[in-house]
Amino acid sequence: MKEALDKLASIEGQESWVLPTRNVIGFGSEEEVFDALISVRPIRFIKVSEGAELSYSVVERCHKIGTEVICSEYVTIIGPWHKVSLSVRALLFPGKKTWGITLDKNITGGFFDEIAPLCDTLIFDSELTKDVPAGAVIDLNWMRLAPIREELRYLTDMAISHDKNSKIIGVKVYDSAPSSWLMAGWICNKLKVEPESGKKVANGVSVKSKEFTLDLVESNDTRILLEFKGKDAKIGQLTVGEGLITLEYSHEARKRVYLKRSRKELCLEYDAFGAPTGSYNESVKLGREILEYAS
Amino acid sequence: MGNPFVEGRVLSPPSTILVIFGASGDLTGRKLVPGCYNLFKDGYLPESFSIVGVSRTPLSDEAFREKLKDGVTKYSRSGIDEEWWKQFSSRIFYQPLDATKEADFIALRERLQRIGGDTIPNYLYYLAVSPSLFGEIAGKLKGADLIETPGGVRETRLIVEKPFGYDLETAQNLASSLYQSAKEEQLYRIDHYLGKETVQNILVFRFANGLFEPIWNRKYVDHIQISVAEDIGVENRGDYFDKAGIVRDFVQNHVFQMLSLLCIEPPNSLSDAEGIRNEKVKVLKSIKRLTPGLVQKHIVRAQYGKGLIKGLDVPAYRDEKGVAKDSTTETYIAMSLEIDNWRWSGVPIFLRVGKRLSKRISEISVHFKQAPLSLFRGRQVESLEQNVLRIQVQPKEGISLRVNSKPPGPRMRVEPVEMDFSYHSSFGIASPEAYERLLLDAMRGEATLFTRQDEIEEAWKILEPVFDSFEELPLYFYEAGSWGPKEAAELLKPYGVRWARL
Ligand SMILES: NC(=O)c1ccc[n+]([C@@H]2O[C@H](COP(=O)([O-])OP(=O)(O)OC[C@H]3O[C@@H](n4cnc5c(N)ncnc54)[C@H](OP(=O)(O)O)[C@@H]3O)[C@@H](O)[C@H]2O)c1
Repeated sequence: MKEALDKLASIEGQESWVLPTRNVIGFGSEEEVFDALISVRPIRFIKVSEGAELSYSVVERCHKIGTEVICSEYVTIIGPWHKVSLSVRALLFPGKKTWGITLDKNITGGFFDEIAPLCDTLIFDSELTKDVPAGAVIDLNWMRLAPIREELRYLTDMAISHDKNSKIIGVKVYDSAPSSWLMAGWICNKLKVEPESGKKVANGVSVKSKEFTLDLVESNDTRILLEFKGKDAKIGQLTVGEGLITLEYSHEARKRVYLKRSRKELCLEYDAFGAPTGSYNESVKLGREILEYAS
Repeated sequence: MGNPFVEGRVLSPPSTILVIFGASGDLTGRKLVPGCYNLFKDGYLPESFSIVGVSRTPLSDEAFREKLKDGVTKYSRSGIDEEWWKQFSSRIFYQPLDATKEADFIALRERLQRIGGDTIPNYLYYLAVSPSLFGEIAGKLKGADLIETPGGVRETRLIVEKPFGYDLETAQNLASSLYQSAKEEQLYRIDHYLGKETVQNILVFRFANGLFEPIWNRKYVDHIQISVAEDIGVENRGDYFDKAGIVRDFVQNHVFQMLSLLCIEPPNSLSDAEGIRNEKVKVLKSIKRLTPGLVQKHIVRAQYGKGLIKGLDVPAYRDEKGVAKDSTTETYIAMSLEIDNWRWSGVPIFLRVGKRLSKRISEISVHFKQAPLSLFRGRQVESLEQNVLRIQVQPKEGISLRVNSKPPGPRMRVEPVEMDFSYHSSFGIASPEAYERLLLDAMRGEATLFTRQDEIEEAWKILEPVFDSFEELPLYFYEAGSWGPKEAAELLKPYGVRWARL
């Protein structure tokens, strides 16, 4: 332990040492993600995990980017969660924001009770879990769904360009991903509808409010159907498959590349370290309400 | 006529004998002598400079030098170099002395005369002993003609270490016991926080940059935080600390000193010690007095329980050596204050000081008011961070400014970034130890960074109602290695503010 702290002090004492730009506390086995994070900018990275005995280690990880060398401190702390938490506090670089990253399925337990409260923002992935941790969070799944949200906007534009009075009265979300509820929540949020009633149906759930129905259906393909009411009722469809998003409205079809971004790529994007947005929280809330009708 | 060439000269102090009382003690070995060694190596000391150590322990010059060598090896910021040490240590002497024995002072006088030889060096006495001996030592020095009136053939000055009293009354008593033998202008009360480069830099930073002074006031500053965190406990000073507590040990001196420098009005000149100290006193005088009824709302006091520091289990305060088992002494304090003057009225100032916190760090942060959000309406920008100027005093000295900026990419986003300045990377040299600067100043007779008696008294006056209400204040507990009791966060809630991350 003392060796680890001395090592950290010696790194900080080097002539060439650059102040870390942020603190990041990582939990889980996504080494590839962690490696990528420390290679793009100097950060103080603290990897935490549970163990019987408290132990620390510190290494300096340097990466060459072009002509520049970027060095980060990579600290590993293993031990009982409470002791890990006290140790982390002492190692966070002062004045810098602290992010926690956990890509674990389980979002209860030691990490969440002891470490998450030290973080300004927590990065997690709701693709892996239905629960959303409390507080300020960045959901990688939300970022992953961004292109789909963008294309749904586009599909609605198409409908409106045909008939400016068209209005969405029904939505069907077919998806195999456990996170389609989040998409459904976002749609309700954007349409400003609050489900008033709902029921369990075969393979899913159906919710209703005045003049609006939304079905969430478990399926092998990923598809979103929008039902428009207007001069003549029309259906718009968004399909995701083979790395592409396909939009169909009336007889027009359009294809767009769907960027299937890996966790690593998502973590490296700027938005991963941005501020949580209000519409995410609203979408989570509505998405959960929808799910409740399924049980 | 004064020397017309004096301006701008780096004053090498006049020849001086530094007489250290408490020569066998901890402070001498850990700070004073290593500090002098570095000053010597860096060429700041006058050609005729010597150190005479005095305390009761019988030691030869040689044995004393050997003992100090260990300290220099261990604590000097530049390590030790044999050749330099040889030259330096030949100027170190030891004289056994019991502060209660007059004859010992006569012997000291003779020894000093022998060391001075044909020259007439100034005498600088460093009292690194218990304050209960201050009056006695000063009196005996005077009795042995070792303190002269200022402006005489040689300057004689006394450096004294805190604690400067236990409360207002004892501080006044201590001063009057010293005044019987020396004048205020000969007394140099040391506060090593003021020797820190960053603390001195507060004034340069404020007054040498056109950017900051215009916004250094209530119109632009939202609030100020001063945090002094230590990870150590009471070490082997349990006895002393248990009687004093953190407010006496830290707030009354270091914290109020930093606060008054941070908030002073521009003095006439930065080289006018009295001018600067006058302004500092004015700040302290303007701090709104807490009435006993208000203390509850403005103060959180707490004591550490057991916990974990640097991976090691550490005992609760009450289990420390020298501490009473049922002690209610505070090891942590959080308080909110206000300076009621034209510049600062309405700006809350939050102080927190504690032992056995997560890490050792001292920091001042000035939080500026937020920019209006309206420009960003409709963008995915839901909040803007305040601009924060952070002055880190310890362990690394540096200043950083947090500004909001747009990260690269097509979207309008705002992310706070830090503009950092650290002494290390900007100047490439390690900042000298606080004691080095202060010792040199005292040899030169430069008193700006030393505390005047009226500052000490004002600081005690501010704290009087606090001490009066201590009994009624709840004592909270916090885990060693944490950031203090959760009640401290509650203190800030009504202001919509959180403690800065340290
Ligand atoms: N250590 C620190 O970091 C620190 C920080 C801030 C303030 N201070 C203050 O500085 C002062 C000294 O601290 P310290 O830690 O160096 O204390 P220390 O280690 O206990 O040293 C006390 C010194 O006083 C000498 N002494 C005691 N009675 C004496 C007498 N009758 N005549 C002559 N010498 C006598 C002792 O030497 P003999 O037993 O050989 O006589 C010893 O050298 C204290 O007031 C303390 O509060 C210390």
